[in-house]
Amino acid sequence: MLVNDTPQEQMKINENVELSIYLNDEEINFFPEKNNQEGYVFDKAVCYINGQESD
Amino acid sequence: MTVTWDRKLWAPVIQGLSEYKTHCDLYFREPTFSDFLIACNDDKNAAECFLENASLLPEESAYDETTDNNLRYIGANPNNYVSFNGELWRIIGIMNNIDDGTGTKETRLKIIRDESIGKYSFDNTGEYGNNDWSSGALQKVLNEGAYWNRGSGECPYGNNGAVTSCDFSAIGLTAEAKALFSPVLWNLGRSSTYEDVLASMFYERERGTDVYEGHSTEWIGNVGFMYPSDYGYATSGGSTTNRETCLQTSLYNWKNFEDCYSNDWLNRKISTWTLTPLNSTIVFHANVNFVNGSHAYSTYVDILPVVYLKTNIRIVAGEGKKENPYILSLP
Repeated sequence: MLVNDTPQEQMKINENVELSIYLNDEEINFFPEKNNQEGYVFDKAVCYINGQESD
Repeated sequence: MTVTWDRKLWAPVIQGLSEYKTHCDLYFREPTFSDFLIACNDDKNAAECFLENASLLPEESAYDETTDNNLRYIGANPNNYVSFNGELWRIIGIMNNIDDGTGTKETRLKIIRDESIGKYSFDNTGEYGNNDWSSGALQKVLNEGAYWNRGSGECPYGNNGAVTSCDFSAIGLTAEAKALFSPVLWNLGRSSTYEDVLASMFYERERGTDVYEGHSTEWIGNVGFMYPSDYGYATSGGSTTNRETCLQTSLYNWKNFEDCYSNDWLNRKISTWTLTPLNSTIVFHANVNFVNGSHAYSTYVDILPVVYLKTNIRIVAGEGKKENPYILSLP
């Protein structure tokens, strides 16, 4: 399990892993606000390993 | 490799990471009612969570404004599906002041099976059948007989004791399902008229003490049917006849108001027994477009079992949709 919990570290899990964040299909560069009545919820993740979509 | 989201840590959890270059797109969206419902269930029960978030369901739910002010699902096809007994059931509403049989009043989710389990008589005693649910033959099938035991046997089908074979070995109640509900006090008051009865009048009469001589006013048990008032309060009305007008129209006359019956998810386009008697032998049933009654021995009326879930039930997944129903759990 890999979890980074500071904002600066959130986007980069380690040197081999990059994350892109989309909010309502629009790319943003931060994790959205935690789930509440004004916030957002996690929908899905799509990952690519060496450019190939992962199962 | 799997990526999930830990809601409490508010961070991604990546498992099975390889040594190769990996890029993940994480998608977020605006929350829906079911998101709040599931998040809420971390520390509250399902009924509390429904009530807390009801304002997010303005088109699918309404308070009935009865003395109990129950919150009900309304409309032609609300997202109120729940997985129960290995099949689809639907939430009628979050019902207040439900007596658990000991006098303790609770708020409970009331659910109904989505599909009929067959057509059987309410009762098969004598020439017309007994319309007192507490002693009726079908009550015994559902609460101690073949349906309760997930087996096969005989079901009431006609008058003068007539029966037919019935097999519930694939659809009867499972032990897992039985763990999720418990007995309540069901009111068995009658409505002595039928042409003029609004949903609110049915609601009051169902809970009244007017019964045919010698019949029970209440019954404590597990499995019952919906009431005529459940059928009435499930309408959202439409653009020609709104919900308020539907609720001011007798359920017998709904047949003249398409907006009332076609925007009612408890209109299953079949005849389904309710618990409520009319006189000494007739039981009300909900039909394609209105509520009327038939003698208890009638064999053309379908069976949709109803139970009240335990108060400590949680909803832990799902969206309430037919293809993604709510998933129930005990804490």
